Amino acid sequence: MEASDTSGQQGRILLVDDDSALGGYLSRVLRTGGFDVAHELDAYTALLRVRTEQWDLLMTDIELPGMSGLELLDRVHETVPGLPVVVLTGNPSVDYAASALHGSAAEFLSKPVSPGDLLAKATELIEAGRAGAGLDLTGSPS
Amino acid sequence: MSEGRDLALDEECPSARTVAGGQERLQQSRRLENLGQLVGGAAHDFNNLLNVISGYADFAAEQLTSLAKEDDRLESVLADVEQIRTAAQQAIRVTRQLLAFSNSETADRQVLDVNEVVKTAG
Repeated sequence: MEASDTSGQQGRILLVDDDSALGGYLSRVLRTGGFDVAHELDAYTALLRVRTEQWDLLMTDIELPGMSGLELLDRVHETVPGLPVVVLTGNPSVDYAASALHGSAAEFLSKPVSPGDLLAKATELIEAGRAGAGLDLTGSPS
Repeated sequence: MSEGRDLALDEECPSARTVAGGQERLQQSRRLENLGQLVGGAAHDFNNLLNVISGYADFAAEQLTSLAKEDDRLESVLADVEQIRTAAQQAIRVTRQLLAFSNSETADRQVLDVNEVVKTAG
């Protein structure tokens, strides 16, 4: 686990990417936008944190060691159905889209993603998630 | 002796040479496909790393631009960082060409807006 910046006011984001360099960079970008970001390298640890902490957004890569990002998506939505999710992929194929649709993925972002697109998407989905769940319900674990 | 057998085979089965040629072309096609996948995988990883390098150089340049206004010595540091950004962008363009090559070798692909595909399917 990498350290998270607790000063973020825009929302809490859990980022899952087994590429530590890319994950660290994306975390840095999100922090510049005022988000509180935690970066995990594997889906199992991320799932545990989803079940025990409150998050406004989950961002996950698809190709992860052990449990894939799409499997994580399914299991997260069993626990926190309303949690917005962004699926990051370097291979945006129709198959992936169909699988993620089945798992109710909120949005896809193709890697590499520009800082502007990343911040805009995070802001949009967190605001939509809050509006949909009510002001005080932001991806609370059940 | 063997030449006689080959001639006899050709006379009995005229398509034998055609079949052998087809198998050779199939093997060549598979080799190219494997090469495309190898290149694509490496290019994908390089592309991600280069974007990380370029992204951090952007952060550094942004801060240096601000600091250089108060300290002239940082102008040369900023110029060096700009060179890193330029080189990284050139390298990203090269890896994208490699990705395009690997995609054309492995599949007949087209650019899709995946979010649009998902919404349409829903």
